[in-house]
Amino acid sequence: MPTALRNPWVQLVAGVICMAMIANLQYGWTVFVDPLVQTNGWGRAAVQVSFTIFVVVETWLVPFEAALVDKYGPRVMVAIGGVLAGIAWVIDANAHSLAVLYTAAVVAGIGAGIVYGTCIGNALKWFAGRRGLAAGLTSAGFGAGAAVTVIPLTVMIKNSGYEHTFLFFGILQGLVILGVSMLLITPPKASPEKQKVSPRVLVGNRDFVPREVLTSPVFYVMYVMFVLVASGGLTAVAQLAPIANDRYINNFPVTLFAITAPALTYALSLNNIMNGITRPLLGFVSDKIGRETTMFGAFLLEGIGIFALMQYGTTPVAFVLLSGLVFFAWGEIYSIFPATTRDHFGQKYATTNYGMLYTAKGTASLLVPLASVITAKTGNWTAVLAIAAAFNIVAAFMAMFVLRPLRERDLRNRGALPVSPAAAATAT
Amino acid sequence: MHTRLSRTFALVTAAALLAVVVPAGSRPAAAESGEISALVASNAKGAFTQLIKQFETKHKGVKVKVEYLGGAEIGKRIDNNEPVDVVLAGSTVLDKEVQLIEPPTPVLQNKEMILVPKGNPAKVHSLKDLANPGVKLSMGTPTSAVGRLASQVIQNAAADYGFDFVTNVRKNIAVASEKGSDVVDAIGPKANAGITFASDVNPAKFEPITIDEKYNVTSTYSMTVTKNAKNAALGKDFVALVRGPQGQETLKKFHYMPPPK
Repeated sequence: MPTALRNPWVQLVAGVICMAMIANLQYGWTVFVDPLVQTNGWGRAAVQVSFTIFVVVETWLVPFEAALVDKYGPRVMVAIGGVLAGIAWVIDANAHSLAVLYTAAVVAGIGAGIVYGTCIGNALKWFAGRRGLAAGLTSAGFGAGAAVTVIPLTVMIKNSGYEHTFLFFGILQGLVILGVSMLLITPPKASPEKQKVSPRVLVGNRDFVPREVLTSPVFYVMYVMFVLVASGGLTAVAQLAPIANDRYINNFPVTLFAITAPALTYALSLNNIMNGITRPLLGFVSDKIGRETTMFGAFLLEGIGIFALMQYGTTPVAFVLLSGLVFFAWGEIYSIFPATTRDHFGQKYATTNYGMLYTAKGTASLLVPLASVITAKTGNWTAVLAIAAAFNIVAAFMAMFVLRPLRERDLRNRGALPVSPAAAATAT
Repeated sequence: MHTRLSRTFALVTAAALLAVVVPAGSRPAAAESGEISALVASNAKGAFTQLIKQFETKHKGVKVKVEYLGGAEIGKRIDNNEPVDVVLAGSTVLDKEVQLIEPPTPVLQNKEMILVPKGNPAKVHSLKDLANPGVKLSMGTPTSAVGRLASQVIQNAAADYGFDFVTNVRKNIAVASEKGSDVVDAIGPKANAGITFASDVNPAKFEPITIDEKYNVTSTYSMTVTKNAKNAALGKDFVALVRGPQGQETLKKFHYMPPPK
């Protein structure tokens, strides 16, 4: 085994590349929809069912796939994930019935779920002092990949047809993941990174098996917080266009940072940028000042940002800037929650344990349609945004006043933290 | 015996040929009966009620089964790949559906216009006056075609009048309606001004106030046939009628502008 592979940064880069290679399965799908509809005579809604299947499978099977990763190691699992991701698009290239298209979506969901879960888990296990940063960079890779390939995808579909594009990119992505997976090695029992863990980051002293995690109140508190923040963020993004339209600012040209664009287009572009920046940045911050403190600041900022968007986002510039703030403050859940899971529940089953928490994303996405129901009932988006803001503020206070004390008490009981003088006095 | 067999064979062959040839030969007649399906933008209901009558007169035995819908609903129906024979919708709707429809034929243009009740109680004489205190506006919601275009007009004007113009116009909105006809109906009973389509002008009830060309938005409406239409030939005939002199004359009566050349 070459020593170079035992470098956490090599492992991280390999993970980011794999994540970028599965990005098209989610973010690149949209450019295939119209060609599939036109060629096969399917309804657009019927084709989009395929995307829903992909997201559901990708999210909800992660715990089971992750259990295999913790057992068999990252190399074999990412290799399998890469092959499945490649096969899925090869099937798509030859799909002439919706049943086959949906089968491909299941295969793609399994493949992407394996790669996603493994790469995040690997980052958590190889890093200690920079765990938040590592998880953030890995999850940012998931979006960054599509940013690079969407244009080539579009051009190839136009020139060579969607079938050829599915085939070419499916094989290419699968082969790259397969090749890079050979660099991945099972992390050691303890995180090998030399960077010391900040004393502000609470870290446990033993490995929890997934069954134990499911009986831990810490897990459920984190699950609720994840759902609150993710659903709040997803809802706010979904309401952005209606807000801009209602305020007559959607097409108003805004010039910021030497770029001029209509206000709504500008705000939506910021979504991708801010979401990408916040994951590694706030992951890094959480490595320094502690997970809960970062969560408190970010979630509170998100809640305030949504309220401010409702109250003060009435001019085009304020709308764009406040949208950027909202986007900035919610993307970090994909770096801080995995890092906290590893901190608290240990190294050995980190992939499975985070995989279980990751299903909160699926739960949150199930809540988002409820926002449409509330909007339809109330006739506007105010109530929905107020709820989204409240969700974030509740999650912020839960971080400081529920999660942190709960974790401290749990870690003290396990002997991972010194007993506080007050607690000692009470005991005696 | 041989002769009888030959005669029988000839009869059976002739009957078989008739069975094949007669239905095939009768197809053009079948195409002139039955019905074609049409999805038409709701704000063109008045004109299209007449245009459909003209088409049905021209094609005896053919019925047009029409649904008057908002643009979003028309887009959704095309998305679902419904076999619609003919569609009339705004370019913002049809531009998104190019994969599923034949190239659209522009048939009319429309513009936004300010309407005030007879006597003009709020003394509105220009677009800028819509921001004045005391004006009660009837507007389309941003999800409707008339509202989306009105919003664009307001935003265009704000480039000269300043963003306060947008804020003050929004403060003056008294009624927001999803349907263009409801926007018009509210002018008088509930509002003292409104931004509507130019085709909604009714000189008996309203005074029209034109919007400066610099700020106004022209919307082009086109007709097309979906790619999986069951009766594409008749659908195309309907498009030709609306685009032709008879159709254009009818549209002119309803205050529509001719399509771009």
